[in-house]
Order: sequence, then structure tokens, then C-alpha cells
Amino acid sequence: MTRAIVIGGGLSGVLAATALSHHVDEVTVIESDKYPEQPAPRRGMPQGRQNHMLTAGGAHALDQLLPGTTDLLFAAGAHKLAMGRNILTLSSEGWFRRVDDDAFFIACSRNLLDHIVRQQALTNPVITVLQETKATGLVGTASRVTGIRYEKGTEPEQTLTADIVVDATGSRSKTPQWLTELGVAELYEEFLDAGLAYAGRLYEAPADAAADFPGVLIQTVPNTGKPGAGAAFMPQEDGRWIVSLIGTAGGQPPTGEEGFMEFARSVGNPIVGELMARATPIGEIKGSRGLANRRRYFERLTLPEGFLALGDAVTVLSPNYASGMSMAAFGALALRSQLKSHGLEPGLGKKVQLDIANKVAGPWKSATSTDRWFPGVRTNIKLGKGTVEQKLAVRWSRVAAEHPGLLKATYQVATLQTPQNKVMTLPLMGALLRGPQQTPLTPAEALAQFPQIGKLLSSAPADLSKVEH
Amino acid sequence: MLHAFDESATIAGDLDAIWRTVSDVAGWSTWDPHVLESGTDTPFEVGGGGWTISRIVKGRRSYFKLVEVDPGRGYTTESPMPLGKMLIINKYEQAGPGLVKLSRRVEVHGGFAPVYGFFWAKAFQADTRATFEELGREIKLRATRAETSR
Repeated sequence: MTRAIVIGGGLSGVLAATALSHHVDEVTVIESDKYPEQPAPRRGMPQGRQNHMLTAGGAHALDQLLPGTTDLLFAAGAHKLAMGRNILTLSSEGWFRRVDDDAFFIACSRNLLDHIVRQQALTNPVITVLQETKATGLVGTASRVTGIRYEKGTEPEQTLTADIVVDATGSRSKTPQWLTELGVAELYEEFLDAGLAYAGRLYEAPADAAADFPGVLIQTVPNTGKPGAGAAFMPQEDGRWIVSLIGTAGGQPPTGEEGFMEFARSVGNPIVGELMARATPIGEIKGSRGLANRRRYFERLTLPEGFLALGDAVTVLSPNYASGMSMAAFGALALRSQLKSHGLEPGLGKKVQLDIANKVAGPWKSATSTDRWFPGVRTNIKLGKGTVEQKLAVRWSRVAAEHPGLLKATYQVATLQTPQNKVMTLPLMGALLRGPQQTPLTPAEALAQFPQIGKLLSSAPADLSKVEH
Repeated sequence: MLHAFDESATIAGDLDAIWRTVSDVAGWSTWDPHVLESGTDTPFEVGGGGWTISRIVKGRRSYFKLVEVDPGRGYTTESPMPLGKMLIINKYEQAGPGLVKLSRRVEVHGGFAPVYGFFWAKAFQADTRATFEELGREIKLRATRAETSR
């Protein structure tokens, strides 16, 4: 009989268990929390109270692993937001024009998404979850992992053997330490920390808000000499909205009532603050810190056979890039593809880590080459001057704000459907070289693209003319 | 020119359960070892179709159309090939109490047939056997899942 152990029963772990379930006789998931019966917060996922978005690429991977999951999300009230049609975006270089394009995000609470994925996955009789159980170490040698040690409540530590062990415990993974204890060389890790912090709150949408109310993104702007400040406003299930205010080191958003609203009105444009003022707050403002970009290079290590790591345990990007849930799905899909091609044969872990590294490389480069320009950034990455890269990024963003083709390419990359190095075509390169040809949209013109916003604000018009970027 | 091969196997299960599984294109990738990814936007009927990414030709979608569907008993897909086409003819027959005979005939028509025969046919034929074996396991798994959820 063959057994797989997945350490961590969050999204990444449950998807990994699904991927493994056709290739072993038994999958045991070790989860330190107790799952809620309904979509609800849990202790092990404090980030669940902030805005989460699943990219189109991630949604595709999720449906490949668990067909029908996105349909269930939509049936439960999740919103499909096409970036070009349903999200008002203020980028570092101006307001984006509306464009007819299908690249989308799914907006709903993290609690709902995790709940539906668990419902879909955990009816699989091959998968067993040991809840309120904590993995305490790996068993084996530097050349092969043969199981784990774990604790449950006050019971003495026990051992569980397995043919393969998957670490899906997230960014706080103890794997680097556990591997060292087995005699494996030290795992190389990079980080880049812009001191990003989130402050988020749920709202009851006003009764007169349209059912297709758009999302709003006010992006943080690097390289201004000032801390980055931004906001994300997204519709959620059950007639709710979520607002996340975003700030980098020296400009982190407050979690107190007054400062929260003031911050929302002070970012690139006060539109998010105005929307908040018309909605009814639900619960407290929740803060999240420690949101650095972090990458562990498992693919460079001589990994013990019978072991691999997925999801945030490998790479976590700051939440601005909305990639975490998608990367969890990509990792599990890579695991399944390699299992289908090679089974549990030696070298499986290395192959999966290489696939994940390939998937992560583009978003990692994009995130770190943007976030490095915020003041007070801390990193162990040897960064070059990067000025050409920075100028190119600025020009890209400025041209994308007015050029439908480049904007669609930007959305393809942002929704993790196409890597950045694959979207460039000769006409787009020409547009980029020509540079901007039109005057940027004014705030009034940008807002007029979304009549739902104008209608809601019409009862008490606000001054939205401010442009700070 | 034609290159063809036939495979068959008998598995435990009932025709309805097998049909539900094989006619769910989006679900193919969850159990069929040959299929890394799959999808469809159409019903499972003649004129419909979908796509797969196989473990033999990785990284590229292969599109197919359903050219024959006999619910519960079989279906045939047609896929474009260079200089020709590929037909995959699937049939399901009761082979005794609780047993179903699965059979598949793969035909590659046109100028590409010899190239296909030389490079891919052997792997595809081996994968067909693996698909049949895994279909048997999937039917059992789904039955257990249905039993557990009652």
C-alpha cells in the first residue's frame, strides 16, 4: 500500500492531496486547525480577512484539479470581474481605459473559496484529514524522507510513514530547518521586503448599489521617494464589499476608525473612501503585516527522494500581485502532471520543484523589480541598478493606459494566463517605442466609464478630481 | 494512408457509471493518466467538442469534435492532424453481470499516418491500456464516494 502525507490543509495542501489521490492508495493531510463547518475564518489563516482575488490562470488550474469549482463559487455569489470591463484601475501612470477583454479575476472571500474547495476535494475517500494535528519534523535521511513526526493534543509524539511527503504549510514552513536536521544542505532563500501592510474591512453594500458594481484598484506607486499607498475595493458574496488599504514602510495604513477613512481618501484618488462612506461597516478593521516577497530555491537543492514543497512554502509574493491562491493551484497541477508522466519514481520532487520554479520566475521578477523602488526596502537580493528596467516599466504602464492592445497584454500577464516574456508582439513593441499618443484620462473621464459608480455617488457628489500619482 | 490500432479491456462497473465518467470531458484530466488537462464548452453530443493536453504531446492543446455519440454505448471523436485526421472510436458493452467491455480503435488517416505510427502510436497505445485500467479504479472510487455521501 502506498501513502502520501501532505503537511498543511490549507488551499495548497487540499489541492496537493487531490493531485496525489489518483497515484497512491491513501493521502493523509496533517492540519493544525479545525476546519469550520461553514465559510468562516480560521486561526491558521489570518490573511483570510483581507481582500483575495483568484486570477483567471489560477481559476483554470483550480478547475483542472477539481472540475466545476469556479461554477460553484459563482453560484455562491463570487464575482467574475474582467479587468478591462469590471475594474476601474488607477495605475502608476494614470487611469486605465475600459477595454473589451476577458482576462478576469474571481472576487470572493477567502473563507468561501477555501470552504468550497474543501467540499469538492474532501469527499474523496482516498483523502483523510487529521485536524488539530501538528507536524513536528521529517523522518528519514538526507537522501530519502520516509515519513513525518506529529503531535495531536496532549498525546505523545507519533510517527507516520509515507512514500511521499509534501510540505504545504505556507510561508512559515519549518522545512528549511527540518531538512537541515536530516543533513540536507542549507536551502537558499531570497526575500525583498517593502514593509507592506494591509488594513482591511468588510462592508454591507448600499441597497442602491448595482449588482454588477465594479471593483476599484488604486495601485501603489514605486520610485516616488514616498511610501507606496494604494487601495483595493472589491465586491464579495452576500452583497458585501471588501476594502483593503495598502501602504509600504513608513506609510502603513492605520487600523483605527478615523485614520482608516483618512488614509482611504489620501491614496491616488479618494474614490474608495467615498464608496466606503456610503456603505455600512461590518466588524473591525483588520491589519496584516509581514507581507514580504520570499522565495525558497528548492529546485537548486539535492532534495531527499520522497519529498517536495508547494505553494507559499516555496514562494510568496506580496498580496498586491494577487498570486498566492493561483500559485497554490499551479503547484498542485504541476505535481499531478509529473505524477501522470513519472509516477512516484525517483526524481519526482526535483521535477515538480523545477516546474514550480519556471512558473514562479516571471511573477517573482516582476514583483521584486517593482517593490525594490519603495523607500526603506530590505532585501538579501543582489540588485543591479535596474534603471532601464524601471524606465521600461513606467513607459509600459503609461502606454498601456491608452493602448488597448498593450492593456490586454498587461491583463494577460496580471491574471497569470500568459508569462510576460510571451505577450510581446511586433505591433505592441512598436506602440511601446512610439510612446504615449494621447492625453491621460481625467478622473471624471475615468469614472464616467463606470456609470454604476456615478449613479451611486450622484446623491451626494464628491470631489474626485484629485490625482496624486 | 492509414495507421490504426485496437485495444480492449473488461472492467467491473455498470454502463451508466462508465458513461457518466467518460462523457464528462472536464473531468477526464482528474482520472485519465493520458490526459494532463482537458476542457469543453459544449454538451457531449454530435457537433460538440473540446480539447486535451496529453502526457505524450505536452504543452499543446489538441482539439477534437464529437462526430458520433451513442449515449451509454460509445462515441467517436475526430481531431485534425497534419495532412489528415485522427478518429478515436470508443465502445462500451455489457460483458456479464457487473462487467463492461471497453474498446477503443484509433485511426490516423492521411499523409501523416506513417509519421504518427513511427513516433507516437506505441506510446498512445500503451496509454490507452493505462486509461482503461484507471477508468476501472475511478468507477470504484466514485461508487465509494457516492456510498460515503449518503
